[in-house]
Amino acid sequence: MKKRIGSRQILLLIMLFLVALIPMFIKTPYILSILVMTFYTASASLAWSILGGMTGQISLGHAAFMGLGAYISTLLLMNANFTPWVSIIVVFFVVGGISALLLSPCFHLRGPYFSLVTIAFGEAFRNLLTNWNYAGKGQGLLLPFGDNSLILMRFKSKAPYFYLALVMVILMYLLVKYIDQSKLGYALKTVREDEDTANAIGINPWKYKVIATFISCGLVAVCGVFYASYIRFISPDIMMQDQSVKFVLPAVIGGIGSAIGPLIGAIILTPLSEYLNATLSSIAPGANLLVYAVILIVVILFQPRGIMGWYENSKFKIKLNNWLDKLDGRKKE
Amino acid sequence: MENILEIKELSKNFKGLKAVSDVTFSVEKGAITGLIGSNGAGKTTTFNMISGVLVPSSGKILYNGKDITGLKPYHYTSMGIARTFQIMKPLKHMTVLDNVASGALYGRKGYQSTKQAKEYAEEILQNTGLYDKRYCLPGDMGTPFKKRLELARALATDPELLLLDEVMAGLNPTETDEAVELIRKINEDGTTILLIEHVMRAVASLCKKVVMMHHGEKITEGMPQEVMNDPYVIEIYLGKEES
Amino acid sequence: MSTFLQAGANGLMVGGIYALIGVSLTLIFGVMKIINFCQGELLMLGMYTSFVLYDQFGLDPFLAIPIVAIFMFIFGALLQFTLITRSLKDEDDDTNVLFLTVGLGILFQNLALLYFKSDYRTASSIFSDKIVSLGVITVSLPKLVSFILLIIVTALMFLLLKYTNIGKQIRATSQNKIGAEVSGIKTKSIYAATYGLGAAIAGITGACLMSFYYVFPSVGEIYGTRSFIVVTMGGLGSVVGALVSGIVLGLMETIGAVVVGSSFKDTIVFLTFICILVVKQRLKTKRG
Repeated sequence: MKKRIGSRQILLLIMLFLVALIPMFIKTPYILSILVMTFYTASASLAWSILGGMTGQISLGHAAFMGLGAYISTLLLMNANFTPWVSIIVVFFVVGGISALLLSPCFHLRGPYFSLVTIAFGEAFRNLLTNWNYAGKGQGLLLPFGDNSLILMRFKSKAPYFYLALVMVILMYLLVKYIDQSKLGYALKTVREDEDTANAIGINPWKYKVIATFISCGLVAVCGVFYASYIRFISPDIMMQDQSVKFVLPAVIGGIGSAIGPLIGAIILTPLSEYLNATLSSIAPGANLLVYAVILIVVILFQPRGIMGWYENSKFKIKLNNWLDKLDGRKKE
Repeated sequence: MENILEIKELSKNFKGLKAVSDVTFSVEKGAITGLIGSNGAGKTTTFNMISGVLVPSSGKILYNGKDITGLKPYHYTSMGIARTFQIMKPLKHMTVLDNVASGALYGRKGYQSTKQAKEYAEEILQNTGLYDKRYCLPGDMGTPFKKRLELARALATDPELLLLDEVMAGLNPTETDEAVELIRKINEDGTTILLIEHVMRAVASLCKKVVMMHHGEKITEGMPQEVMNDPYVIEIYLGKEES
Repeated sequence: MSTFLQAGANGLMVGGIYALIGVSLTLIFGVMKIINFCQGELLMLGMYTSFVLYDQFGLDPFLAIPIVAIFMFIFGALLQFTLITRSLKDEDDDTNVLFLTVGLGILFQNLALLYFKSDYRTASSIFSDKIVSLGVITVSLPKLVSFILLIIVTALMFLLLKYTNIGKQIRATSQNKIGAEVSGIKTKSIYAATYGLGAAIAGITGACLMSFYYVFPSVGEIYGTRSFIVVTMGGLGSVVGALVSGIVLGLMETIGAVVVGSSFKDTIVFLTFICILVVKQRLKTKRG
């Protein structure tokens, strides 16, 4: 069966094209920064979803692995003048490897026990970095400022970061989508649903959890490289547990276990949160997180499978598909 | 005839409690063998040891003459052993087709692409009468279909020996007859079957040999009619099952 | 030697707090089989309740304990009855409850931030700034009183579980929910009561803590994580285990600080926790 280019693909490309045009028309740094954060959060959430959504191992310590990525790339940049582009590869394998190694003894822990271990690891890493002289202790590290440089991933305006983040989120989405439909994805999903069944059909749950951790933590560390290059300041605070929750929420609200879920969740949540943070943080600190929490609680109580879970069973999906089919049909005539 | 599976003096203790003790029997290649006995007789424990879920306290399991005692359960599929669970374990958030495709991907067929695996899965679904439900979620189907799904997923791994744990429990007489036919068909296609079953009618019509267990021990084995007419067996089952 | 003795005494006092918050968490787990990820925030709410009582009415944190306990009980019971119970329906899917309680934690923390701002608040007690000397060891009086209160609260809870009607119903529900239901126990109310009890104990811990520590919106994170460590070390659902491992954790922290220096003591604690968890689980799965 060959893939036909139908209205769905065309619509998607048009949308992508429009998004890519945004920096041409909107020059406000504030709006661009919101979009960059949205793409970044979506990427991190997509990375999380490989372990949390697809494999069902709810990690609440991913911010620590993101932070490790940010720290490693920053230290390499500051001490060895290492370009972040190479760091991306280094960080993927190093952080992926470290996390897979550290978490591998914990994979027979089921459900919330595993989450507890990831919290503990996150706190341990944060604590280590808070007290490590080389990594700037609790004050954190300031990345060197200077002229625009593509090699050093350093720009004065927001637009280049916008495109970087856009490419990152697209690649991340395509990767997650690909894994979801691949042989590996089937193993991960089977492990999530039932480990006994996985065993019974020849899937070694432990092995696939290690693989999922490697990919997921490695990718979130890559997001960390971007974060450090973009914000240009890192401190142990980026490894806090509530930062991990920021990666988890888009996936949960968008729909856990689907590739598009974290993306939709981030597109809805991050602008809202950034907006609230900017407008209310002086008069009502924490209002953005408050809204996060309320949305999370409402979604969990009324639509536990998230927005995508609702969409899959909704009339809206049928209508949308009918409409798209009609578009296709008209074109054929 | 050649034996595909030989169980030798198999025992399992749970903290001093003997769940299974010194059970010895064999499964003939190409035939259907039944494992019967009242609740708590140790049938499922025996099954779990044969399929690698539990490690035996003592004894040996030989598969095609090879000692497989204590192997991890996920090695079994590639050797050609597949099982179903008494308590159904469908992959709840995956469609029926994906459930079976998962089995096909990691079974002996060794498919690398999901497309091929899905095609094979569709074939299996057609043979097991689930094709119309292929896009359903397991939770939206009734018990008979869920039982079939267990069977289909195990079949998708292309087994040589199929272990069925009470696939007919909870089915009405018509559904039972359909299940019997399905199992017979699978067997005729060349798969050896070892099944645990309470439905005596099904056991009698399917099995070439039955092994009777009680309180963790093997009481007797033989042709279904012989075993069921054994006075001791009748005594155990009296008032519990009509045979 | 005296440094170690002093560290030991301090550890015992801190451990008392850890033990009590651990007990509250393990109680909820024992009955409802869920890990309550907002336990630390319940403690934080208890601290703020105690602070408000002090701030508005000048009530001593220790005298405020009964009020805090009752308030937190009602709050917890209502929370369980209205929200948490809804996501308990799906028996073998505990991720919903996990996310719900995480969400509640964020909610409480930021409500506190919104209302009380991020300032550190304190309340002083008649025992404040008083010190008891026992030979080479000195212990601050509020900590000592808190420790004694811990023992009293735990003893009371044991009596409640052992002898009262509701205690028996809670124990029955924790052992077998369906069996309890069949015997006419309204498990829904028992769940609410248990969660309320857990919240009340967390609140009492908070009130005790208020007498010698300060409160801020994210204070719950520190004690929440500690309470997870305590219950997993002591065995989820085991009250005695939580007591013992709470004390052990306190000692580990203070003595660890003497040995490796205070900056890395938390790292040591977390790593020890992970090791214990992994080893325990290994042993458990081996037996099966």
